Amino acid sequence: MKDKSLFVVCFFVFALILAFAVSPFASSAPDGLERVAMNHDFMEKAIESSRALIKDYEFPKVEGPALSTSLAGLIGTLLVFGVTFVFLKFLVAKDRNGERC
Amino acid sequence: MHIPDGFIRTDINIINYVVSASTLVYVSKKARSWPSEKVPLIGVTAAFIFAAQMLNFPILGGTSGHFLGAFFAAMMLGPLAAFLVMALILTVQCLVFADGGLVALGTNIVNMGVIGAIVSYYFFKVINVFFPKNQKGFLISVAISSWMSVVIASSACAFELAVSAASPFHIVFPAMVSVHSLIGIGEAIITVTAVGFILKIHPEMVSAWQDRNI
Repeated sequence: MKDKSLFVVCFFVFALILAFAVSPFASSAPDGLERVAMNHDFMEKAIESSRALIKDYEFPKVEGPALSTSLAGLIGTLLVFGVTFVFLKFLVAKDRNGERC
Repeated sequence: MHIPDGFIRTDINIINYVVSASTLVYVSKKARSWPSEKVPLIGVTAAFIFAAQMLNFPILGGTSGHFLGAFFAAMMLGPLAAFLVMALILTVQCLVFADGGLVALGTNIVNMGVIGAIVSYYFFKVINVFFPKNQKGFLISVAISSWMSVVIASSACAFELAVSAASPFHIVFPAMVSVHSLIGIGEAIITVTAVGFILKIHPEMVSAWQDRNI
């Protein structure tokens, strides 16, 4: 059991490292859908969302594109873990060895 | 492949919202009987997929691709938890990062959650029958299915775009499938590497490996 917990923690740390340290080096070229939309003249149909806190993975009010991306990655990774964990904690009963998902 | 608002017709978005919501309700009901010790693994798998999705890699023609992770999640967690993970990731991406439109969120969840995770999982179950019942055979099926998950998800997207008159079918379908066939190679490489590694150190954590005889 301890071994499994270690795996889970290491996996999480690995995700955080990817999100924080590697994300600034990611390619900024348009992705597959964007490229198709640009090439075939429907990109302009896109409606920008105005509400988002960390739009386009750029943490606001931070200097430098690398750091703003890193922070976006870090926050996002923690948030996704938190949301998933909390969502499931409401649903999954304790002390049940139920069916596999 | 995160579709912004404005590309897809509203009625298609509504249908996809209904499909996504229904699937989420079904999965949530099933989730009540999941073992609680699996929750951290589900959480970190979601975290990893989110992080990996940020790491765009260049492919041809001034275009990049990124990991989808839906099939990886299905291998680690089974199809239903994988759907849940993708739905939650896509929702966070939409609401916090404006990655994918809010009106189009149901469509994105259908493409990358229902099709990306659940359909690809069953595709895997079918083709895995034809390969040796060892880790090597398993990983070959994983490679093919990972690639296929991206291709069929993008095909669904192309179909939705065509029906929405964003672009004619004979143009948008080959365009989407060809670029995503390349991206799918990246998906296969990453998925096989990740699953292969976890199989070596903790095979019991790979749900699809544990269930391989079912």
